[in-house]
Amino acid sequence: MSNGVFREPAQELEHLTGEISELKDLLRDMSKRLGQIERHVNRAFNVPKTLSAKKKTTKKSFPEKATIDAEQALKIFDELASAWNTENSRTVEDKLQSMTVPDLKIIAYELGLTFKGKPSKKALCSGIMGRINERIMLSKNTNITQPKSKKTDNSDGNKVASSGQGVIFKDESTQSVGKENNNVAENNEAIQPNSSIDNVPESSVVNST
Amino acid sequence: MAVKSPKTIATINFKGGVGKTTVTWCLGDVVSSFTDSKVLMFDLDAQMSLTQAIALNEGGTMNDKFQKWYESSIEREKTIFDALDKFARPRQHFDFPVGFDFIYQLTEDLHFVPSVEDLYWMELEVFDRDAVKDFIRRLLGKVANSPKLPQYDYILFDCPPSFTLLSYSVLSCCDLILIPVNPDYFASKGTNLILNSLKMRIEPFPLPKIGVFMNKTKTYGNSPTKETSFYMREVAHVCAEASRRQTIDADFFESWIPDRVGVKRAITTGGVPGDLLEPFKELWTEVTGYLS
Repeated sequence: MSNGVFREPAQELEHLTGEISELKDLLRDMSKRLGQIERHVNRAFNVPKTLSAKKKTTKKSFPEKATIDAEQALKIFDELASAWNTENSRTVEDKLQSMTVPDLKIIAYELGLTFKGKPSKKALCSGIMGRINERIMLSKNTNITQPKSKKTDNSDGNKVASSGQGVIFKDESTQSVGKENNNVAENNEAIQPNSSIDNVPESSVVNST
Repeated sequence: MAVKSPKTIATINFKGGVGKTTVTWCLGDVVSSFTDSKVLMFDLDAQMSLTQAIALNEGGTMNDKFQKWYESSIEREKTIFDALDKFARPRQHFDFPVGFDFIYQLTEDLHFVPSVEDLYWMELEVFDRDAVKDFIRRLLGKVANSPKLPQYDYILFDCPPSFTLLSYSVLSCCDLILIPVNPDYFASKGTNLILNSLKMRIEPFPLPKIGVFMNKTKTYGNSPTKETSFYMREVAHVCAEASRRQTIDADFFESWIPDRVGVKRAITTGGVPGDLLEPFKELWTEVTGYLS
C-alpha cells in the first residue's frame, strides 16, 4: 500500500484499474490519430505499400496448391509400398522427391504423420518412408522354428477334432444337464445327452498319457 | 431337452497391454446385461488381472464376498489349476465335478472362473503338451453337462499374452479367436504373428475363425484419428493377406472401441462406462454375425 493513501488494498486496486483504463483510452486515441496521419501522407505522396506487406499479399494470392485429394494420396502410398517390394527403396525415394511439398503434405496427413512446425520436404519424405517401412514390417513373417508335430511323424489324423462348429462337449461322469437355476441341486432335470455333441471317442475318456 | 453347445470366444494377443482383460470383461458385462444370454468368463492369465480386478471394489477395498469364495475354492482344491492337475495325471479318470465351488456368480447371468498364481509354474509342472490339449474341451464338457450349472450361451476366455499350454488348449477348441489391437506398430505386429503362425501351431486341430478389431482407438471428434486409421487399414490388409495365403478365416471388424481412461475402472465399478456401451454393443453384433 503506497503512503497510506488507501485504507484497503481494494481501494488501491480500484484506483490503479482506473488509471490503466485512462491510459488505454489515450493510447487508442493516439493510435487512431497516427493511422489517420499515415493514410493522409500515403494519399498525399502516393507511397507504395511496404515490401513486407507485398510479400504477404503475394503469398496469400498464389499459394502452392496440392494436386491430389485424400483418396489419391492413399492410392499413391499403396503404389509406393508395392514399388518398395518389387523395385527398390531408391526408386521410391526418387518418386517422393519428385513430388511437390503440398502433395507430400496430403499423403503425410492421411497417414497420420505429425510434425513440429512446418515440415521440410526431407522430413515429409522421411516420414512417408517410415510408414512404408511399417507396412513392410507388419506384413513380414519369419517362422524360423517348426512345431514338433511338423518335424516328426504327423500321422495322428484321427486326433482332429471339430472346431469352429462349437465345442464337443462330452462328460463321462454325468448324464444330466441342469436348467438355469442356481439351486439346481433341488431342481434337477435328468436328460440324455444330445447325440450331436456326444462324439468324443471313448479312448479319450481316460487320459492316454 | 438337448444340451446346447455354448459359443466359445478366446481373447488373445501376444502383445501385452492391448486390453484383452478389459475387453473380455466388458463383452461379458454387455452380453449378460443387454441380451438374454448367460455368460461364463475364464481368467486363464497367471497375471490374474481379471481376477484381481473383480476382487477389488471401487476405491480399492476388497470384495469380501468374492474373497471368501476364492479362499474356499483354493482350500477345496476347486481352482482351474486343480482341474488341470487332475486332468494331466497319467492314466487317471478326470474326476473333477464342477459347480458353484468352481464357478463364481458375479450376477445372475454372468459367471466367472478365476485364475490362480500356480498357473505361472504350470509349464514346469506339466511336461507333456498332449496331456493338456484336450483339457479345456473336456472341462467345458463337464460345465455343459453339470446338473448344478445353468446352460451357458457364451464362454469367454481371457488368455495370457503368450502361447502357453492353456492357450493352446483353448485355441484348439474355441469358435472364435478375438484379437484386440491398438493403434501402434508393436500391437499391430502381434496380429501378423498370430495369423501366420497359429494354424501351424495348433494342427491337427483346424484353426477357428479369427476376428480382429481396433481397441483403444484414438479419436478426433467421433472418428478415429488419421494415425489410427492408418493402423486400421494396415491390420485389415494383414488379415486379408493372411486369409489369402494361409487359407484361414480372418476378418478385421469395422467396429472399434475408443480409448477411454474410465474403462480401467469398469471392472471394479461393476459396469461398462456409459459412453462405451454402444461401441461394445456394436462389436458384439459384429462378433455374433461373424460367428453365425
